Amino acid sequence: MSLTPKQTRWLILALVVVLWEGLPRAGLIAPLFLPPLTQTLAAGFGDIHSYASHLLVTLGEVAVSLVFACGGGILVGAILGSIPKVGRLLLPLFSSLYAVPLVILYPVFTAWFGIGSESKIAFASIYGFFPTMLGTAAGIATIDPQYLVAARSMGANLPQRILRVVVPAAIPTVLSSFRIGGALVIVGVVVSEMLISSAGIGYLITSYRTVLDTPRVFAAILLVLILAIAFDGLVQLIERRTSAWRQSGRSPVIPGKAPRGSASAAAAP
Amino acid sequence: MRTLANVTELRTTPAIRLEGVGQIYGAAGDTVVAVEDVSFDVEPGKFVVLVGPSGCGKSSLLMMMAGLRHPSGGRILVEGKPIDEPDPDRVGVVFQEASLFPWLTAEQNVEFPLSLKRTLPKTERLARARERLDLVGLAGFEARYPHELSGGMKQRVSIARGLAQDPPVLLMDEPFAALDEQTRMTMGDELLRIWAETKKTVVFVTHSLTEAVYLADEVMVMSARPGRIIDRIKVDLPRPRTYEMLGGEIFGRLRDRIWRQIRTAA
Ligand SMILES: Nc1ncnc2c1ncn2[C@@H]1O[C@H](COP(=O)(O)OP(=O)(O)OP(=O)(O)O)[C@@H](O)[C@H]1O
Ligand SMILES: [Mg+2]
Repeated sequence: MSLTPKQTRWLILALVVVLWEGLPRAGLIAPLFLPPLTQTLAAGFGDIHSYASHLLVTLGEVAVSLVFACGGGILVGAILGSIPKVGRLLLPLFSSLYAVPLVILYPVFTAWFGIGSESKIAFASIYGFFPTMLGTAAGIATIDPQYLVAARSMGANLPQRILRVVVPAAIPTVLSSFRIGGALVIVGVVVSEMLISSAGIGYLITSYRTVLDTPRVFAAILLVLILAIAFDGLVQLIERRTSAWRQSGRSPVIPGKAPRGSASAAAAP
Repeated sequence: MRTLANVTELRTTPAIRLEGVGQIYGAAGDTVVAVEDVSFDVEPGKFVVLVGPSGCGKSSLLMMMAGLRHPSGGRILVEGKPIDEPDPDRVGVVFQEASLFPWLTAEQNVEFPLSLKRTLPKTERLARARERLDLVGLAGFEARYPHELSGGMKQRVSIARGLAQDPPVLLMDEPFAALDEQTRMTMGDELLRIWAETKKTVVFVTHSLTEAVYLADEVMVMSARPGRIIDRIKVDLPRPRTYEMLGGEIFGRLRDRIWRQIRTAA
């Protein structure tokens, strides 16, 4: 019997759940390092109000940072990608900046913006900005110029060429850089909350860890995991909606997920 | 009197007229003369094939006829009027790489040029697109995305798109170059059928001398850079052209003559 990738994924998830519950219970891992899943969930639900209010803080910071990081990243990336002269000048500079571990700047940010949400938003925005911007710039710069020539030959004016050729052609790369940028925004918010702060899921993780309350630490970690997976799932959904055409015939066909019309596509001359 | 004059004038207006057309690329100091002093007329409804060594300026010439580039010298008239910018009502273009938009279905690709002007309501535009797809033998493939079509089918969609606005002139830059030989032969026959049905004026660029003679009313041979027209060869083979003609004596003689011209030109 062979499993589809989807079944395999569920199987792995089930295995993780079983091990998470079983290993600490069997005494193979000390509950101080890894409390059983049920105990973690119980701790989480017991403090549900506290978790919810801190999650709200984190969500708010993530949302605002997403707007700055991804909105700004897509905007600046689009400009740099479509003006080759400016792009050639600035992109290498931004690429090297991206390589700098930005987290070293976080203490500076708290000095500038205080330990409230502002410093988290500033840090996470910059953290997510670079991959979004670089990905968008690359996506736009690599659009096949033949598409634009063809559009021009059919009488498309500049706004039409931008809206009806550049935008749809760039959507897949823009979305995948949005996906990476968004994930980094979540990392940026949680990490900065863990470092210096007074609220948010990251703050909860740090404060419970210092008192060695592992079930509550893991409950918070579980929340961050769910948040990250939910964001990723949302972007994937948008990706599938907007780029059905990209289910290229060259990529292996996943059973049960065959692209529209692919069954008969190979038959015609 | 006036109407009579107009009628005779219409009849004598060439579909395409080039007068001393040149194309120079590059900035001052570092220039490439791609095309030099090209003049010719193409009568309405003719199938003209342009051949010449690689880099001699065939694509440049086509780009200028499509209004996608301005000539550095001379002028180009299509249907008696200068062509300063792309005008899909007068000229349709088919490129080598299908250049179909991969995010649109076959039908939406053909509808694209019609949708730019919005003179027709959407339902009518789609009906027109389906009609064109039918013409190129792709009825039933309207909802396919380009990646779901074979190379030959993509070029059929491309031709349908070029014909979307029903322009009198169709320019084709090596449209079948990326296809295998069998598909290429079939596509040649298909193109001749479409041409006969629609009575378009076609200018077709190719590197295949067999394809040139098989398709053309007239073959124009260009010299190496700077590109000039060095020979115009009438192909008197009857139509419809058939596979048997390929082995015939006239066919061989014409192909030899073109080949000698290109070899001395290169
Ligand atoms: N945008 C451009 N800038 C500078 N030079 C160009 C440009 N386009 C074409 N050229 C040059 O002009 C000459 C003619 O090019 P063109 O593409 O028209 O030739 P072609 O006959 O179509 O060649 P091929 O048979 O290989 O397609 C070539 O030497 C080419 O290098
Ligand atoms: Mg060319």
